Amino acid sequence: MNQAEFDQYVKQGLRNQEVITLIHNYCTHARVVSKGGVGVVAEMTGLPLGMLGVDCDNAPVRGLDGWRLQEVAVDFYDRNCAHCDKRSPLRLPNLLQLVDARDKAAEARRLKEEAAKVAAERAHQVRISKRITLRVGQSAACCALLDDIDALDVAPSDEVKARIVETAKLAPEIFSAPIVEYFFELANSSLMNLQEQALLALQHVASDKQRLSEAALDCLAKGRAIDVSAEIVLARPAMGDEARIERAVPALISLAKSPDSGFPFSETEDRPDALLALYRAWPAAVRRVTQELLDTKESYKVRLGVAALQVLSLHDPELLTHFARTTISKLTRAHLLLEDIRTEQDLNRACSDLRRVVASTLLVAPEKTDSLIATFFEGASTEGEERLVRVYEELSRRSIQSRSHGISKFTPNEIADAIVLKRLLKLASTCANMKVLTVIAQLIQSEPDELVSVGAKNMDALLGTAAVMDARIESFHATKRENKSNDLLEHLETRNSAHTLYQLRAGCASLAATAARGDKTRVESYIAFVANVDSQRDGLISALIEATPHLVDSPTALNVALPQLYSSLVTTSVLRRTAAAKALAKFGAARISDLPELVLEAFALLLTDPYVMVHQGAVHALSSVPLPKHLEQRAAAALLQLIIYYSGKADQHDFLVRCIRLYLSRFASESELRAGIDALLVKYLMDTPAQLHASDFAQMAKSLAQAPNFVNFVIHVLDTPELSEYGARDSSRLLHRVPATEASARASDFADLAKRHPDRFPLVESVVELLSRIGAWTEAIAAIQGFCEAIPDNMPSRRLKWNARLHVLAVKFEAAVASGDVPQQEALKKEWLQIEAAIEKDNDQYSRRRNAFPNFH
Amino acid sequence: MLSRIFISRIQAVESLRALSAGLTVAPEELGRISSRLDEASIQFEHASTSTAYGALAGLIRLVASLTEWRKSVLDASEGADRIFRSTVERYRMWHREYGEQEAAEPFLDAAGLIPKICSLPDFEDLCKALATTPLPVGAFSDGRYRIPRNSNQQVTEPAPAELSIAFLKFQIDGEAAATIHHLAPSVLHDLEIEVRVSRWPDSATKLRLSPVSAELLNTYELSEFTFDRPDGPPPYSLVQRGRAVLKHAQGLNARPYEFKYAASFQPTNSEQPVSVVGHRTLLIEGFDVKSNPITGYPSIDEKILEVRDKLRRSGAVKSEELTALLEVLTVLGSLAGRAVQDAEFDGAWKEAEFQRVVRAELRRNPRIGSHLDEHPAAAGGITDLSFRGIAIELKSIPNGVKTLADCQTYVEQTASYAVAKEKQVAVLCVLDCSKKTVAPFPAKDGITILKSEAPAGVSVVTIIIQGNITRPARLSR
Repeated sequence: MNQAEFDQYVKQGLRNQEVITLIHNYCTHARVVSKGGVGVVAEMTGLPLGMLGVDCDNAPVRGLDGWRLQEVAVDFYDRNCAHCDKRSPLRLPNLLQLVDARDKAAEARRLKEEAAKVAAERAHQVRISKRITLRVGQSAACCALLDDIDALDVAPSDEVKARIVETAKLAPEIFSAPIVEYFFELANSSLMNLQEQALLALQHVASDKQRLSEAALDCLAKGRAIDVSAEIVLARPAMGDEARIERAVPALISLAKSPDSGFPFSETEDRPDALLALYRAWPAAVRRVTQELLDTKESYKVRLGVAALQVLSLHDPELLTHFARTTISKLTRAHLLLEDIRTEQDLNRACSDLRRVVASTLLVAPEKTDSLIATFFEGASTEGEERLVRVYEELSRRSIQSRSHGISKFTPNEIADAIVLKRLLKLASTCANMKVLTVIAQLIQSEPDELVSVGAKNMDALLGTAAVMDARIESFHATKRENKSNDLLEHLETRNSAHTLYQLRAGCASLAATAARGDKTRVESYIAFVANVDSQRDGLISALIEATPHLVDSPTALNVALPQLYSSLVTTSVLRRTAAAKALAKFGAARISDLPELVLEAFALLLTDPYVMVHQGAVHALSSVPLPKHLEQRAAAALLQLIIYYSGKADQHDFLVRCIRLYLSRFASESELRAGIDALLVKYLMDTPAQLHASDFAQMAKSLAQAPNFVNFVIHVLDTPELSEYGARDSSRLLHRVPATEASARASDFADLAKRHPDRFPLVESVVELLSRIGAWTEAIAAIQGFCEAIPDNMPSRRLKWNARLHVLAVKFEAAVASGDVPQQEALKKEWLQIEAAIEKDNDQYSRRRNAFPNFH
Repeated sequence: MLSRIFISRIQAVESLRALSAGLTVAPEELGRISSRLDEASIQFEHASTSTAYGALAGLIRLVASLTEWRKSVLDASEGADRIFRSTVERYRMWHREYGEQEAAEPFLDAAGLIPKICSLPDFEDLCKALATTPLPVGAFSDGRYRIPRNSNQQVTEPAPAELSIAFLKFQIDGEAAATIHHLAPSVLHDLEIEVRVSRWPDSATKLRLSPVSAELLNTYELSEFTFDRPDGPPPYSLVQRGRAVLKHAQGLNARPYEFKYAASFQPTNSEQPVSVVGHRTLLIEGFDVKSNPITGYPSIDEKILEVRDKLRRSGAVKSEELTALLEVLTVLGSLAGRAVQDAEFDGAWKEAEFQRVVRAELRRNPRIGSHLDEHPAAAGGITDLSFRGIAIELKSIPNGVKTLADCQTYVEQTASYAVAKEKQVAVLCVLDCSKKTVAPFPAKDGITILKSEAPAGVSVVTIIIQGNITRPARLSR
């Protein structure tokens, strides 16, 4: 968010504040409520920002919600206040001020429209008079043509349009000199309908092609009748004068490649032919216009210039290098050189276009452009550096873009890709700008085809960079240790920076491994590098070991990598053991089945490793590592031990829940669970924060449902006040697992649970379902009645209350069925029909005011 | 949602009530109600409520047929029996679908009346029973968990048969590769392999069986087996011979070489096997007892290796414990062999004397020497000897032990010392001082692993030293 956007939000917040006062002054019953979360600006300023709505206990209809409270308030007024007789006014000024302003604006609009209509009618009369004069002495066919023009002047009609053009094609002789002159006049007019048809007809009848081309160029300069004008220019691109050509070029660029507006579904078909034809005929003029567009400080014009380069460079690649300095400079300092940028999105869109064109330049002249970028990089701001590095990112996404455009085969450009990789590695090793490093880290980690294909030849550079990153990590931590800060923000920043450096080290190792894949010599070379790294460089070795799965595409490669992997599993280094466990997890079940048991045995031992990092890493990996039966038993025992150990560690609940889930899904047998393990696990789960693990609990419930303390657990979870809406829904699924006997014994507890949470309908609904399934009718009725009674008796809640009452009737009806109480059943049916009728009546009464669109009246 | 659904439930109960009172309800009306109940059943989130509604809808359809039967009976028309038989058959279908479903259980008794209906009062009883069976009031699904049905789903080709490879034969020097093989290092050995391939992937040109091992690459050489695409229809049986050689001998404490053959089709981007079944692991012991004897008694050496392998396989013993144990076993194994060969323990020995001899014997081993402790305290008792935490309990039994199992009496004591020192293994050395009237048994038969009771489950390696052996000449007298 930039300063301008921030200011705009603050302005809106202040306006909302004023509107709140106006609403309150209008009626004390109405209140403004937040319908969504609180954003950063609202938090910082305390201003009413976000999704806001208006509520009132006397309002039968909900209004719209939105950011701009003035519109929301007026909409609410239209739907409710305008029809209300319970208003409690306070003082002036009030909401009516907004309503009056809205009405006055509507009236002004209406008057303006009427005036425009009168003026248009007057002009129309003038044109009719002109055509009447023209008719004198003309043939009947010519008069029929003028009739068509008259008709088209009144209303657009495809039929009439076609008739005019066909007449020009089939009977050009009808177009006498005065008529042709009149058509030229129309072509220069401002009447869209007539202008386009005039040009279309003149294409067939005008003998003065020079004049026609000039008329078309003039239309293009004004941005009118672009399609047909472009056709005329395409037919005779050499005609016209340079001044006219220059004025017409922007329209032809937008026709050739319109800059992306950011609106979905706004893509138009690119039609570059006319621009290309004009460029061939007038290269200097088109270049001049392009330069002028690129030199402006208006973002749309700059984007047009970029679009011109994108279109024309397909036929004249030299154009890109010609404008390279301009485009790179513009991209580097976009925030200074574009003056009309209002939002971050505007800037992003302009930079995205510039980035693409610089990337294309890099592809055309890799070395020259790369060194030019490097020159600009030296003097660039932090943002400028990031924008420049994204050029390399753009270039490395060609394969992905090809695939997204349905092109299965991607043609690499080895020279450009090698330059990109080298530049990225150089920046990774030397650059201090964390934004730049983050871009590089993300790019390298995504392993695009471009980098993988050149990575094989640059494996040493990749592995070397991984080593450099390791050294950078070490010095980064050393510096931070010296300058320790207690500032939370700085602490978070430090963590992010460290994370980026780690990502870069891992990314380089991973890319090197992927590049080596499939070539035995390279795989051996990678493994030899790992073996030769100084054993003190634990972090580097572990990053390289973690990347070994990327090396392996066959049993032969696995055999080459395995000795190093195995020795890492049994080494004294904590980091390496953890990395080896993570590497095993990435192999996949088929490859794991090819591993000697010795390796899996060493892995199983990691589950009992005394170091937290190691055994937690091993547990994370375990879910992806199938084991032989005897090791499976050992893993189960180790997992159970970990569960017991971590049950006492409140800050490790995530890991505990993960262990229990894994144990239940993979190891626990029915008999073991019944022997008391289920109760133990439930006990441990009760100490974990339910709001964070509701979904996990729902998935484990099937295995734990028979535990004697399961019902207590369910009630405990559902009673958690911090449960989110989704969490409450997930937790309600626990109720479906409660065994019938337990549910019967604890029916009143479940009813009380529902009564404690009348605001959570999914919970109440599930409790009622459980109780009605076991025939606990008294408790079921109590539960649903509690929900119904908690709904306030006011207008907005009226429909909700009726629906809740229907739910009560349904439960009571089933209870009456169970007891065979026919009179009660009939009474309930009667009430049911009455409520349905009331709902129907309410629908009829307010359907118009419930229209989803504002200003419905 | 409820307002749309529940009214059909009310109508169902009303209709059943009317029929139970002998009134008439049009079968078409019942058909409409059952359709609406069917529609309602898919709106519930919980399957059991859906099932209950579905079961009731099915029963209402049967009741609709029975109302036609009722009419036929009252009109004395010909089709009554036909309608009834059809209803009973449909009831059986209903029962097959819902009979085992817990959610439909409340309806089972009532529905069971259908085949027994003989008269109109029986029909009315059925309707009454159904009209008094309550349904759960279910929670409605918001559609989050429902997978949308794709009506335009294209018919996909049936998937090809699973690509699997079975190892039928895997031999080394003509023996099936089942347990641990002892192979002399630096000697060529034969490998023979036979596999069955379920089918051959279209793009694959070769099948490669490669050895995978955690051993360093320069310590062994094993053939890689490559097969070209065979002719004929699948499955294919492929046989090939190769060689294996271990380049280095192993130490006693080293684990056996482990090789596993993995299968892959070439090129690597071809379809790869989904499953590889059969025995494909080679466990090769490169420790050569002939050229590097442990005790000097080959059969005892083999027994010691067997004990070592067993303990390793159990996974309960740490490698450092095993190393210490093997040092002790090497000495005691030698002693057991000499005790038989030279009758070193003549006559009856007191435990203290026996301990002196064993202690001296152990100390002579340069890898044990000063690390052997005597009488260290453990678990409130006194251990006889201990080497790197491995308890060595010595017993001299005047009456001797008839079988190895008799030594179980001393296992719990020995195990207690091990548990106190957080070890999973201990040594029990028993001197059998009983007067021998027959020839002694081979010393290797006096070595075994005895387990202590759960939960400790300590492995106590037990060695019987045979003393008081009668001179062979005396046995002939």
